[in-house]
Amino acid sequence: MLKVLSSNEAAAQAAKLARINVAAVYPITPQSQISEDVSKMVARGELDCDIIEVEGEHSVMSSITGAAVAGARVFTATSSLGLAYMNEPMMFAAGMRVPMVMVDVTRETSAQRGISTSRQDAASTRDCGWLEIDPADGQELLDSILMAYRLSEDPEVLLPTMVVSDGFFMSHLYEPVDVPEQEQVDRFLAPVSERRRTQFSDGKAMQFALSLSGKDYIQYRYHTLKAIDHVKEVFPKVEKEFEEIFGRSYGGLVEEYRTEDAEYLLMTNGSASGMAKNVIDAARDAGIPIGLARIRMFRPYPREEVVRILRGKKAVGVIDRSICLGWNCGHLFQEARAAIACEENMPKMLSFIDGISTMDITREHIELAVGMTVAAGNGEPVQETNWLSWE
Amino acid sequence: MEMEQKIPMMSPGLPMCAGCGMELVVRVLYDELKNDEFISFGGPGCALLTTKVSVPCYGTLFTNMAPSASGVSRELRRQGKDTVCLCIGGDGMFSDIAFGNLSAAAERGEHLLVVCYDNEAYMNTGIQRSSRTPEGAWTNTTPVGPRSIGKKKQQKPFSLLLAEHNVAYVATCSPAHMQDFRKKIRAARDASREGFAFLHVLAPCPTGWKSKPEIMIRQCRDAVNTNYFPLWESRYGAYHITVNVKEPKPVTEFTKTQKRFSHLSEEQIRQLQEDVDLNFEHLKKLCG
Repeated sequence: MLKVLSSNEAAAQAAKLARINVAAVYPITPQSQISEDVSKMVARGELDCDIIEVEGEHSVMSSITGAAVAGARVFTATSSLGLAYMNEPMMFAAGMRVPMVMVDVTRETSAQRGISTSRQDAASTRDCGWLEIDPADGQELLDSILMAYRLSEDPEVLLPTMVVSDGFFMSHLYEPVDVPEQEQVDRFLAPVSERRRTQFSDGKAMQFALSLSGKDYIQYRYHTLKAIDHVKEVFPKVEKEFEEIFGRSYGGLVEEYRTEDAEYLLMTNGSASGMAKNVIDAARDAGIPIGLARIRMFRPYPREEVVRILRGKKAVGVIDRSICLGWNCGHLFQEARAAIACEENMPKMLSFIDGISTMDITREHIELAVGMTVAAGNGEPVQETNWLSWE
Repeated sequence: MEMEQKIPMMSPGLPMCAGCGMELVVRVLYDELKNDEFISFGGPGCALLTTKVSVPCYGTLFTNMAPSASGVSRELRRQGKDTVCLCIGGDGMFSDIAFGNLSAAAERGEHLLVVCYDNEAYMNTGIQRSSRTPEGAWTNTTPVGPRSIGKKKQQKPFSLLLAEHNVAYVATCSPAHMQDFRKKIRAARDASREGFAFLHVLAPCPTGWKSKPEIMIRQCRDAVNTNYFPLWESRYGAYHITVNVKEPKPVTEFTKTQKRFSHLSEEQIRQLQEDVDLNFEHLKKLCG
């Protein structure tokens, strides 16, 4: 049913449709509404779920990990320093191979508060062992949460998934969202009890997260790595199945927009992608052969896809909402550049930092990025990293 | 579940130090719970070694045992089970780094049976002070020298703080009073089926206390008989002393067997005695 929802509301709807069993809640702007909405759904009797009202994000992650180990389908949402605070149990959850889904509503993390957007929080968790999906709007957020449960609970994956929603630019933006029927979701998402997985069973001396060292330890690390990598195969299948039931799809690990005959590319993730497509359409009208590669899955990083899409292009401008402090570039840029490092016939790459705190990634900023990318592709001298807010 | 346990649930080959108080505490806990369905939570610390056991185990972080067990307990109860969730950790874990989320689990009334084996310092990492280290005691981070006289502050009144949450059950226990200890384990187990239960057990660490392993039980008895570690219980905030000491001995009866106290001046001992007396007066008031 078509409804007008904010991305926060869409996320709560997704949790309800996924029939979550246990959720942990703790407030932080701009995520709080998700926690409130899930609590209210339970209070109204619309969702049969146990809510654990904990005293901080560290316990949010710890308690839902415990509930998942005991067999529950679990959910939570956080933001910014909340995500940083739960970093320790996040690493543990991935190491324990616990399936769960968390929404990170992005927000700045530095001492100057900047209570607005930025993807610095999510970027800082990139090596925790979690899967990360980056939808671009409320509809895709809702759909991605449902797909995230399928991925996380896949017996060959069994890993936690973070679905990232841009703070304010998605979380507080109201858009039409097609909320699926429960019956459709039930067809897509089997109850967690029907999926083969490891959990405590009566009378068995099973052990979770115990001490290992040397090769035994490394073996666990290696298996985790393999499972993360395997997601590159599983995700397109999950998305195809999703499309068959719901009639929507988003293009796999990397969404390509007008890339086939493009000589130049922009690269984005999240909410900036819609405006980037508008700018690309206008540039195309003006005769500039440019397209967009939108990274939908940041972990595992789709390096093979990125290499394929970038090969033969003249220049790529990567727009990031986060900063690799100590390198002066964005995280999307850094990873794409690493992916193509030893490949032949690769484009010139530029990093654009923008959309941090209350600064939007505006049409003008993206147009500026297009201009500089084209210039770089034509061999003109262009600075590698550019902070668009004061160019 | 029917499970007749003929053999001890802990392996006889555990690599604990001789005279380890914790090892006995865990052995007794498992023995009392042998006919119950239970999950044992362990964290980094000597008690994680007790994962060489024949019960379901969940290894947590140093910082998150109570919330981890809360999650497990909630889900099991949602499934209609009344599995005992037994959390075992030291004073460094429960009284220091994870005190906040332990307090939160108590406040929420989580169905947990939390047992703190208190050896009054971080022993697993090599004898560093915790908030449970007694005033004046030597540790590697409260050394003794020309400008340091051991730990400067009193112990955190840890179990009283938890009891003040008005939870289902809180008790202090001593391995020297085994009947009292076992009774309290059963009471705590039953209480954990209706809410939060906490046992605070004195567990000497001969390695860290610099004392003889063979007198571990005597030290526990001395701790009770000097009112240094009085034995009491509280049900929903109603306190009651379970072992009355008619003529308390001076605190030196407890301290004299441990080299960690050997440097104490008369003034420091007088201070320690005063604190023991004041704390006991406070407890008596709570008991009404």
